[in-house]
Amino acid sequence: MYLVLSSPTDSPALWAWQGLLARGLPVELVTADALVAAPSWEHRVGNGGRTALRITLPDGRFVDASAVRGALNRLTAVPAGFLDASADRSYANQELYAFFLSWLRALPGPLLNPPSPQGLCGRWRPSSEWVWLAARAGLSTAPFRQSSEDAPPSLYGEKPLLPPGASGRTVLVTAGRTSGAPAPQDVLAGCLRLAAEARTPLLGIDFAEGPAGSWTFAGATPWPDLRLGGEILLDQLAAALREPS
Amino acid sequence: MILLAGIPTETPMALVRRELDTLGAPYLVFHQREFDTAEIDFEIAGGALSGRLRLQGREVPLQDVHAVYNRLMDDQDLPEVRGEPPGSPRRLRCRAVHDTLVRWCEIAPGRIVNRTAPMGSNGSKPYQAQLIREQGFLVPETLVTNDPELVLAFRARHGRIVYKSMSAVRSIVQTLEEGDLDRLHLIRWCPTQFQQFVPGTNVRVHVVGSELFATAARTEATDYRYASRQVGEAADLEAVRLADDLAERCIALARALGLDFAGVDLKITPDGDVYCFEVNPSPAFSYYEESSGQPIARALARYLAEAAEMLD
Repeated sequence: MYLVLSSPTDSPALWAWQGLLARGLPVELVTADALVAAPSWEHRVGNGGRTALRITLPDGRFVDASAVRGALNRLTAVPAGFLDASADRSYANQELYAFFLSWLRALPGPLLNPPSPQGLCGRWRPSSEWVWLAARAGLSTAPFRQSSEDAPPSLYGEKPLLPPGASGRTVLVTAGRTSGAPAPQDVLAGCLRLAAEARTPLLGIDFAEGPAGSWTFAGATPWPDLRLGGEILLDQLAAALREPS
Repeated sequence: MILLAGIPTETPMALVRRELDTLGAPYLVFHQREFDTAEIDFEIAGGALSGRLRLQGREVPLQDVHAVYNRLMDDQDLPEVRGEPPGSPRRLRCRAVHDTLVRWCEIAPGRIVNRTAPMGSNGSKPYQAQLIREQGFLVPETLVTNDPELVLAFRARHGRIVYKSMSAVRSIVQTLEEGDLDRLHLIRWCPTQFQQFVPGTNVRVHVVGSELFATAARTEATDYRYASRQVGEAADLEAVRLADDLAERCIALARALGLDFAGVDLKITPDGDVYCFEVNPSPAFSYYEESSGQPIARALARYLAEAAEMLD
């Protein structure tokens, strides 16, 4: 069994789920809403490398991690709508996040992407870190500046790296292979280095015409629009999930 | 140059500062509550990182800051902004100063003790337990569930079990007593973490780079940090020496988690088995230093000063 873990409104994930089914993978779509409403959870961490995960979902499906061979992980947050507005809401939310982080870490097989304390589907990084890593990966980057005199970047509102209106192109890296925009070979090689450096096997990397040339780095995300990779990405994703970890 | 970032009167920070004075090592203090007058900016250009920090009227190039002791508290909790409405200019400025400093710390070369991202593993105990296990430590058998029947079976198997939060919030360990069983059904609302109780001696190990201080805590309490509350008497703390191989494993564990400074919580059973419960990425070491006399602050000050000397 393979899993696609996502929000029920994550269109790229639903598209990937259909694409993986069409490629013959026995894939179960498990939504974040179903996970938080699961009537039974059993997650064990023991010694000798032992972990266990058994989930009974609200629709009666049963997920036993011992039968899971790989997963596309698109979870970005634990749905909190069911929590009431009491003082315990924040605490319960943090507990659920900590729990999701642990059981995702315990899933066997290829996991694209593994969870991180900074993001359930891979580490969310501020623009400054992406620019720093992109430059080290050999990608062309425009100068980046941050100051205490600027308005602070909000959690989901990183300031764009390039001026508004710059047309973007996206390269997707899937477990060491690329798809998406037809970039020059040196740019593709830089994308692979960036994904490796960021320890994010599934990574969307944006480029635009900018001060550092026609392929100026414009951002990266562990939660890209997979559809930009087309059928090639689906083939790569299916191959990555089938590979023994 | 060394940067101390936090609240200067907070005991761990004050102890490190005192030791830096003794060493004669130059340092700057970013006092969080004085964010109004602090300025920081940085730039990434041509693959290089540069910037400036202005504190108490003094300006320093960030390239000259080679070591940071990061004891920042959540800036949203600072008294200066607590009463400020969301989005007020003062609150935004406070956030901007802290955000810029933290983001610089994440990519700055030199010794950042500790960077923010690696500290995140402590935000999920069962997640961190998996990382700890990979470094060759035993971890307590753990069950996270919302099913009371599974908890009862787990208790029947292990005899005494404890429960504690998975996140870093309200992290007090409690034994699951008979009287708790009446409300066990409440876990249906949120999966809860239970662990086998491991008998033995608690040992807190402070790792500073490749140096280490082990402190045994003797008490009958389930959570020795709250011994006064749980059994009416504080834990008895004393310095102990670890076997060389265990000491090396503790240092390797902190390094594997990306932490220059860490508080490793061990329990050594009567049979000599060593369990690791968690690794604290921002240990309030002063409690141990003051009780055991171990020179942890001096080691930390020296560790910071070494980096500054190497790079100045």
